[in-house]
Amino acid sequence: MSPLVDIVTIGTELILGRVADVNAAWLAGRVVAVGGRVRRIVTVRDDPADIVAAVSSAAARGATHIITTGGLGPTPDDLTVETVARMMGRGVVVDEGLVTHFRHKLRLAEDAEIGPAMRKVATVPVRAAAGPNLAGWGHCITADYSGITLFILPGPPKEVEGLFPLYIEPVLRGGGA
Amino acid sequence: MAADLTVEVYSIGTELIMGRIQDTNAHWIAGQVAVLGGALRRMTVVPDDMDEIVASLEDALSRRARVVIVTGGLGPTPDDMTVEALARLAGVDPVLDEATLEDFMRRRNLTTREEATPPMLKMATVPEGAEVFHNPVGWAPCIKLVKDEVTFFVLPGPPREMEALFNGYVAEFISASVQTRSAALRVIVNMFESEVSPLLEAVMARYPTTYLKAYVAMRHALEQGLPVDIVANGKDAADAQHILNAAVEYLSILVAEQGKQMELYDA
Repeated sequence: MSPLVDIVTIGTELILGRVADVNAAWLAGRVVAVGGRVRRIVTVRDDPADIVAAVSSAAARGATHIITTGGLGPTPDDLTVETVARMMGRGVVVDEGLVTHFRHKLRLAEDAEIGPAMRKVATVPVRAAAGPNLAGWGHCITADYSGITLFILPGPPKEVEGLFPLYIEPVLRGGGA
Repeated sequence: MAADLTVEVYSIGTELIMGRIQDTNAHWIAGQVAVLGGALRRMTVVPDDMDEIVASLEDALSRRARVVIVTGGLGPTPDDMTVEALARLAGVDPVLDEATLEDFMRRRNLTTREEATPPMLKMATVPEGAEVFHNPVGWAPCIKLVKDEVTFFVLPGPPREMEALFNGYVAEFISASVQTRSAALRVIVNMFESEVSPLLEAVMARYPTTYLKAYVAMRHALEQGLPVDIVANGKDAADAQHILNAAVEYLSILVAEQGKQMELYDA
């Protein structure tokens, strides 16, 4: 069965028309290229209720995979990880592998030198995998949500383009989750 | 204060959902809605699929959006099904709009109904009970239909036509329905996101109707500085501009206190 993919792009700056979303169209093109079908693309604010509504309705409509972009940064309006974790009934944890990855990129000697902002960026839902973009700063979080594979990507297009072939494309090509 | 005028935007087109074409309409509309004081809540792209279009528009009804703006799917070909989907949603029949057909015939110098082509007939068809607004720069008209207190506007997909019809009819409806307005400015600071983030928080705390956001992804090199958007909502356009000015001034003071510089963003 070919993957049925919903795309949810998250960002108040998109909803205010300050920044044009280029991720959704790029991702849609890639999903189609690897044999998937995109059913709906939805854009919402950095708002927990709106994020939950968008992701859970994609799940309710029978998506096999859901890709989100945006809201993974260090600032207080970056709410995607915490919100999606709560939607799945899970807490969040700091992924120590990501902390080490950031430490190497920053050329720091010890993980302990990573500050609170970067530790927030390294925070993922419990029972989720986080894979870094070796060429960039972002990472892809992959989680199983009641049999649906959820991919959580950052907002910057360069990161999305770097992460998709590493973590999403192989799963979609595999046909299942 | 009156409730927000919640707005949703739908872009209909299989070429959009397959990523063949980048949708620019929703982004343009989002910017216009913000300035006019509307509260955009969601943008949705769906394929040219009757069931998907109807189901997704029903979702907007159930979310009780006040205004739903739909672009695309108004052309003469079989994959253009927005009118029929809207009619189905509203529980009415698609009917020929005589005034629109007469306008088409005048523009083509046709004198009898028999000369009207099937594409003309299709593009002059609207859901029964809809208001129809003439398209000054193309063929498919703007359609306005109210269902369960939700006002739907349907606009053709070509950006030039969409913009003309939005400016001609939708903008006035939104601005007449809501008092608030917004104003925005982009500046650039020679700071890291982690340095400027607390300052943005401080401005938002002092001016609660503002939204500030730094765009790390738009900084291609450190020496280029970091773009920061400041968006302010006010009770009218002058108030929004006043709050924006105050927020920008406060941010500039906070930036200067850090020994850094802020200037207007020149795209």
